[in-house]
Amino acid sequence: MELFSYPLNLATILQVVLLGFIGGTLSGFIGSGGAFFMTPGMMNLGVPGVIAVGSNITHKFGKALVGSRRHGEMGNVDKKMGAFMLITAAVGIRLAVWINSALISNATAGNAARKGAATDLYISVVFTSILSVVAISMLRDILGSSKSDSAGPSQQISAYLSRLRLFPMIHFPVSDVKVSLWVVLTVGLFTGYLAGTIGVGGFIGVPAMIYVFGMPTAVATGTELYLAMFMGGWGALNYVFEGMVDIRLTMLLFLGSLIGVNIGAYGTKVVKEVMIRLVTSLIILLCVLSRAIAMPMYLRQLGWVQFNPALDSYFNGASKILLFVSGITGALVILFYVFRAYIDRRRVYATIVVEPEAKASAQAGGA
Amino acid sequence: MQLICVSRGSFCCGKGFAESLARKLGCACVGREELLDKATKTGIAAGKLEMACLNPHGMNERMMLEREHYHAFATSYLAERALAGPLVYHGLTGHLLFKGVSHVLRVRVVADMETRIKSVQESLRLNRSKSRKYIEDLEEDRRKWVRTFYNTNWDESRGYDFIVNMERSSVDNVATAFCAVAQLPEFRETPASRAALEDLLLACRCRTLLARDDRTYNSSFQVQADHGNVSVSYLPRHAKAADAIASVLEGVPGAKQIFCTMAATRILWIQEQFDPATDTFKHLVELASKWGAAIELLRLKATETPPIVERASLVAGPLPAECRATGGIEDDSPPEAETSRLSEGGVEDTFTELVRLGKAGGRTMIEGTINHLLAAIDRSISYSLVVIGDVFLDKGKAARTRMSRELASSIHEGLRVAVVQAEEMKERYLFTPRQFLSMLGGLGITVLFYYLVFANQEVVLHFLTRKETLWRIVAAGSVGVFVPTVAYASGKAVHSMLRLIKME
Repeated sequence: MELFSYPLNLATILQVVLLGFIGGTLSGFIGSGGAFFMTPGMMNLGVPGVIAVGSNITHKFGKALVGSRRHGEMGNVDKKMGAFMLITAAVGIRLAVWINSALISNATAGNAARKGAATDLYISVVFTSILSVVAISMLRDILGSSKSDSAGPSQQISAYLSRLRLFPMIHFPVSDVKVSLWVVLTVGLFTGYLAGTIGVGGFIGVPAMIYVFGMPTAVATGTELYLAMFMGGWGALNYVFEGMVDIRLTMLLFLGSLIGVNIGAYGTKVVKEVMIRLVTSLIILLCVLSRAIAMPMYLRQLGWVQFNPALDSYFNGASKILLFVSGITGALVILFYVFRAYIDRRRVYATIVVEPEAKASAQAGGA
Repeated sequence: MQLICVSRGSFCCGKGFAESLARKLGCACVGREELLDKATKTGIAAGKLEMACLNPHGMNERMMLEREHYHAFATSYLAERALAGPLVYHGLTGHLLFKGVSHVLRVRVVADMETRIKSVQESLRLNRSKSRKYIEDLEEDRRKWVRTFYNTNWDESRGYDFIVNMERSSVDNVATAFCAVAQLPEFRETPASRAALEDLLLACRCRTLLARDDRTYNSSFQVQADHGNVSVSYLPRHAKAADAIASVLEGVPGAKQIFCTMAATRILWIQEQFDPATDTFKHLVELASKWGAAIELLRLKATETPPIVERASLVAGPLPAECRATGGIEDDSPPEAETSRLSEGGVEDTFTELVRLGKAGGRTMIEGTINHLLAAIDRSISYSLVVIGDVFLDKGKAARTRMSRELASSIHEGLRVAVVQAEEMKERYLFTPRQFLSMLGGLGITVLFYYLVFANQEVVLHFLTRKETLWRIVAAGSVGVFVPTVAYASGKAVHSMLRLIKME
């Protein structure tokens, strides 16, 4: 119960709902789960990292159950791929939960000035290192494609891996790709570990499926959502078993995210693809920066660096402001396009009828 | 006049067969290489398009536009040649450019792997394993091109009239045999099929003009034509470019009227008899308004006999019965003036009403079986929904229901799109009184769950953090049931509310 000592007053409740709304909007827009925003956001509110991850993964479980049905109707789910990845993703999640539990147990034994500083630092390091790579890769792709007008992300990795032909190669008919079993299992393990550690699944799983397996984007997104159901479920069960889920936070996230995700999904219809990728990569980069700003705080709490403890509130404040500003700005951009399109749609959509022959006759008559 | 499309794999003697056949028939012969070359000269990035097709996520917005431009150019180039005289085309899947043109003779030429490996070894001086790899890679690239362009499988046998194995026969002998096949009545031009080809040419000419004009070059348009009536639909974000459509298409030979409709997506409505006064029409229009969709009408007249597929060509007057059943002598008399099929089935009235409402997305008529319908639907068009209304009207109720469901299932599998029966559409996509009750129910359950948790926070947290193993298992199981239930109830409530404000 010590882990749950953070205040849950009205201000915090509203901020968590707002986190859920922004995270949901971004998630519907980008196609990922939104955890890259919600997890650090909750940490900024004083929620220990493991609770933030556990509560978010439980929220992801519920949301994925609701969302995956639609994708399934469209035939964009490669269940065979999902099943193979899940084998090792489950192992990865269990490993992540075990590491987080071990760090928490160590901390509560009195090794950290503030309980949970070790896990907070660990989660922040993993978060910043992985997502900075994702954001920079996306930005490079955008800049590269705008200069050379080349056709989309690179296929170098998947081409290299397919040349390796690590037996056994498995054919996935829905995605229409052939991938080595070992590659699938490794990606599954990595995806599961990261989902279990920082709650972020989509940002790793979807690019991995596209860049490493060579899957079409729509199928990768649908399959990831399908996978998220099971990964979220397994992660939720594990974190609840360890006593690291605050169901109140999960439910508050739902309040915001279930509305936000529909708005974000609507936004994909009215915003160009390159703009979506640009907004996504910038927001991720700012989230990464926000987490990096908070890290000195954890280092001090662990006794690895020394400075005035009063500065903790400034670090946390700066991290929080940067995160919320980036998220709110991104959500506002999306909301602007969505409401503009919604209003435009309400105007009369007339079918304009032109009669070239009649027009030509009229002009000839006039002349 | 013959129009023969030869689909050739690599090193299958397909090119030789096509050239020999063209010589014997006295036809013009056009190959894929010539088409790509001409396309490149007009400014289409055909080379980049080929590379993009190999990359499963290579089709970005620019490449999708290039695909549209190439498709329009290729179709208009070949249609023009086909209208001028008999034509043999050899490439990958040229026949897919002529959807709805019934007299196309579709031939696929295959050969066994050993023969092909030997050909590669002789021509490219590669060893056996490298030759095999070369062929497999080429086939894979071509398969991806066809999949990207037409969303279908290149080697699907039902897409061809004849599949020829060149293992034992010489090119000349097979070509000689096919001279007789090409004369069969099924593969001879009729007034109806010529009209369909002219419509195709008109639509593609319009699309090509839009691709060449600076004002409309960067915008995506779907263009269909039907007896001089051109339907152009475009996305809302290209609305500014759409202002220029009329002036770009001014003076296009054969265009009588141009319908320009803004649509974020398309809904395909399949029915045997259309009526704008029905509830289905009203519901569809409501749904199309919500989604910003154009409604495309497809009149399906199911028959057991060989098909007459006439995409966007509503022929005035039926063909003589003996031409369909026995392949007797064709009636060359020109079609009667614009009547009959256009007004048959209520298509014209319904289309006029859609034009008035700004939802017109084109119209098609298909007479045949489910397979013919699937073959005729353009898979490169992205539909958000397919609605199946009353079809198979000459069958009994049970057979009608069964065949409708079979049709729905086939379309869903083939096009990977949501398919719904007309009577289910309202329940699934529109806000009904039942939805209202469901929304209230979802809200009620959600409020109850939130109250229970937040009014008993200490108890809940204590339950979730107990140390005993058994309690931890119970807690995990409880959350495993509770969370999906909350998500489902609140998701349903939110979903219904968004449907109520038409923002779903």
